[in-house]
Amino acid sequence: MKELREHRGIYGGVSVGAILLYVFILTRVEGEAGALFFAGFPVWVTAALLPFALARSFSGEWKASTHYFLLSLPVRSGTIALAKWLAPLTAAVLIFSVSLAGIDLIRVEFEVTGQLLEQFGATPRAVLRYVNTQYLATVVLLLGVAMAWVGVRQTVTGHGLVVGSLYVILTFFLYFQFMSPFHHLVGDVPSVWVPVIYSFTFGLAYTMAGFILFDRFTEI
Amino acid sequence: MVEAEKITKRYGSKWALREVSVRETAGRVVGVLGQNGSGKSTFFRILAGLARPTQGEALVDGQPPSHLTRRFTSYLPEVDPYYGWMTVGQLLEFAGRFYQGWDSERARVLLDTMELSEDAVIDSLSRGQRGRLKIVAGFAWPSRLVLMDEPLSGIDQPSRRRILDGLFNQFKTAEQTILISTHLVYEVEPFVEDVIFFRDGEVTLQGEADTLKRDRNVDLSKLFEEVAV
Repeated sequence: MKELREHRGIYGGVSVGAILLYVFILTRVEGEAGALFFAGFPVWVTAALLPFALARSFSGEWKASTHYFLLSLPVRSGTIALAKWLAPLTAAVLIFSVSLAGIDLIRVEFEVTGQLLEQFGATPRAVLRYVNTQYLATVVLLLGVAMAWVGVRQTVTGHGLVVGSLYVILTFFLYFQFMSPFHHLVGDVPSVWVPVIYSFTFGLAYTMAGFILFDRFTEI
Repeated sequence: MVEAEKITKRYGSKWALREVSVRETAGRVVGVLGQNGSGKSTFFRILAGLARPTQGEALVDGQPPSHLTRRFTSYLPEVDPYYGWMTVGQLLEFAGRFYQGWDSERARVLLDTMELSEDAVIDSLSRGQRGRLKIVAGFAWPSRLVLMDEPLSGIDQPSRRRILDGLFNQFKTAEQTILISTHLVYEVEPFVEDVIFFRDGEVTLQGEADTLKRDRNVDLSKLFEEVAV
């Protein structure tokens, strides 16, 4: 709760923004293209904002020296990292829930898109649901990347630019390196869902790595 | 209660502590005395489980310092560690959730003694008031070990003696071990039972304060000049 309260500007802002967006779609948007665009695209902006908010919540503690208080509490450092990670995730889940519920409430008839997608055995609302699930998976992935970065910075002090560059390269390398083996591993799953599951899995693995590094190496 | 066996701490090429060995039994008030940068804060951070020794071993109540020993350790750092957006009351409520035996009534009495209001926003407090708030948070629960790192810095001189009097005579419990670091030796001299002198990351002298003073026929301030400057 402290995390959500302290960073209510960013977490509250993106959540309220997403809710207002869907109120706008449900009450004002009439065109098919507009409904598809608004229901599918703008929430993705928050996928880029939330990982930065997570990283900033850690650096803010160090900048303000409040990490002295936080880390001296009788809990594991990893628990503190978990609490910080849960705050942007809560905002993402709220946005996802609103967008998912909103898809069924949109009054626009998707006639043209519906005919187009029919030949692929899909419906516009199913595609929107897929896009929004992919959004949540992407947030989990990027939050994991941000969390692991926080852990790496606790482990390797100094040489920020070099470590940062290597970290980004390694992250991309690992992400694409394991994509194909993962596809084979979950062979029975419809291929359209594989990237979603992969993003969730990779994001959670990175998150765990971040928790472990933060718990093991954080020092004042 | 506190044991350190040849602990060394290095940050890169800089030695913060060199082979520090200390042993303190429960219930003592220990003055950790040294100039700024002498290693006192690093020593406290190791005892609070916030830094790991490069070599050697530290034990608090027989255990390596960790989140488990922080269940009975109050650590009052030298910096202002609290969230500026919280009120004093919110901070104490937040901290109180983590410590078993947190005593809200005791916190209120401490707030009165320290002349602080629960409604005050931390950002609006002076440096001295924030220093007093640390003392409230550190003594509002029955911790067995209190690590006070330069607790008097920022507090105006007339208040210091009053605050220390209140702490040691009114709020300290018999089983509580208090390590208080300072370079203002004359301020803590009436209260400390044992002293540990630090210079350049090394312990230069330690022992029972009265014995050291009697043996060398000097007061602690003079002793400080001899072994810690």
